[in-house]
Amino acid sequence: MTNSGDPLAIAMFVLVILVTLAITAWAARKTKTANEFYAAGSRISGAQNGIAIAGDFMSAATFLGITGLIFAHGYDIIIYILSPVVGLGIVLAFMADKIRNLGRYTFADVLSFRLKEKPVRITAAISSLAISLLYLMAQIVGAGALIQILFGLPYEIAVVIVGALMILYVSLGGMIATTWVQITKAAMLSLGIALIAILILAEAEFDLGVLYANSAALHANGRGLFEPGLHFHDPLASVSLAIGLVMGMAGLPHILMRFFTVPDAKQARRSVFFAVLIIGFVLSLIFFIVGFGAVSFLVGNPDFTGEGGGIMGGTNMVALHLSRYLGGPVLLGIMSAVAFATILAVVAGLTLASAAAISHDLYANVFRKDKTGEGREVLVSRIATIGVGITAILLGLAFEGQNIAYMAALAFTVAASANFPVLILALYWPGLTTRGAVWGTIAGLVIAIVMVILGPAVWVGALGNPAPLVPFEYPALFSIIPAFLTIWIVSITDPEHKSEASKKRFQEQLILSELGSGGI
Amino acid sequence: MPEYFFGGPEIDRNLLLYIQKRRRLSLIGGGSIFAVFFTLVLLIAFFPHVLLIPIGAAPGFNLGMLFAFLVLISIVILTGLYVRQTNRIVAAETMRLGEDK
Repeated sequence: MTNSGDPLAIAMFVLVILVTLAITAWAARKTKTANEFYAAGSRISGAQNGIAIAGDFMSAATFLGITGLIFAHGYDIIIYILSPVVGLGIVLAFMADKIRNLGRYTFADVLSFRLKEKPVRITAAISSLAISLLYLMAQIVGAGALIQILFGLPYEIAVVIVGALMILYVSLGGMIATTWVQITKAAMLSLGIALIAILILAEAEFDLGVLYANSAALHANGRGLFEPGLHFHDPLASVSLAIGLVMGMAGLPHILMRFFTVPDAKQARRSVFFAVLIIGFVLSLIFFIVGFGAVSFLVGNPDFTGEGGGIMGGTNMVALHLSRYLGGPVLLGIMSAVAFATILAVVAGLTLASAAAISHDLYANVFRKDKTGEGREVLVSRIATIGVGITAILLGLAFEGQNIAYMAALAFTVAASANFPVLILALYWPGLTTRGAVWGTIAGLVIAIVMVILGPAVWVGALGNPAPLVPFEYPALFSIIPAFLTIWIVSITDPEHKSEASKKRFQEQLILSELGSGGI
Repeated sequence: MPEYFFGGPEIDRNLLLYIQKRRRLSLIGGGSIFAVFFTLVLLIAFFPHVLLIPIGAAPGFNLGMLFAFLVLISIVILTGLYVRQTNRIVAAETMRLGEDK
């Protein structure tokens, strides 16, 4: 199915672009200082930031991918639904307000509070760039394919359009534009999913029993659709995925960066609550209603299935087929535009996190320490944004047709292994040393990348080998543990471990992390 | 950093108590969110048959779907309670530490 030539879909597509560009033009006038560029002047309210965090997290993979996964595998997908919400809960309980109190623009600010700045900033910037570029690449490849299907545009042009728009949003409007694009997208996505859920329930006489009975009657696995076992065949695979998604969520640089946009720790806590509320609302509708609704209305429907009985365009298109079934071309046009806005908002957040790692961590605080003015740092950020955007476009073109699932898996696994252990120990373990943090980050980064490459998605799926050397698609469990162990062993064997200066610095950090610079 | 927190042993002890209280709350809040979730993950991974127990006649009305719903609701409620409780403690301690000053 494509939407090419459908004037409504094209009109919605153009409308999304115009609205987001208008937001960018408005934001550009308000973006002058480094604080405005990286952190929206720290003037975003908790509720706004919570909606933006939800917008930052809920990518096209969430909307299209998870609906498709539920359509195919049913119950097991609950782990994908709950993990990000739990990840945010962990961020709330252990990190959000402390990060807000200790940092300014990036999570490397938090690490460098009591550790030696240069080495920890370099490793944190490298891991942030690796995570953001991997995630960005996955989004761009997915975006190109999606826009190609939705609007009939050639893949290359689709990738260039998305890349050019994200460069415009971030380089001109910085965090202010990114935040409001994310808020707009989160609102569109929540309303769109709610509308689809209501229409599904209306078709099923507002009776979940009727909906589920229809789904079970039509799905190849019958009642098995509502039971564990269709997606995970190995118990450790589900545990590893859950751990990876929870801790990965707490280590994603573009999510952590959002806590610097609020004025204080209280608003940081409030923002997590709003994010949990919105993500929980959207994902629960997708899990309990939309996914099974898709089974109920699309399986065996000749309008949406190919010759072999498979869904046209693959399971990623399930949500859009469902929109067409429920609301014809009008709802399809609206949901296509929502999917497009979803992509734009996520890539903008990722681009900003990548640019901040280059300009704030590497340029301003490592290579030109104390020698660069604020105006120059913002200029470097804008240049870095253009560089990151062009890199993402080139990567998107180079990886056309690749399985994007492993790139997203790699991003979460690296975030969980390289960023999360060092960040949580920096906040809570007085014994952490600079050497431990640096080697722990390197170990987490390398082990995660190697394990994903040797796993089923890359070793078998992309490289064509007969069997994987690592049996897990999401090996986070086995890369997080070595990362923690590396940090601990290197730290306890480091003379800095028991030094009085180190203890004193930790106490200062503890007080500031709890109270902030202006009191509690 | 507010000066009064370095004002003397009495103030420091109050601050320490405050930090301990916050940590306890973090552990209870974060721990319960993770425990609720991980119970379901472990059931899916190692004891899936428990989740197959029906709670109604129609397909999909089983313990697994009910647990999934309850876990999601619990996490949202626990998150809200944690934020409310933390804000309350922070506000009360701000007042107390301010009076000590």
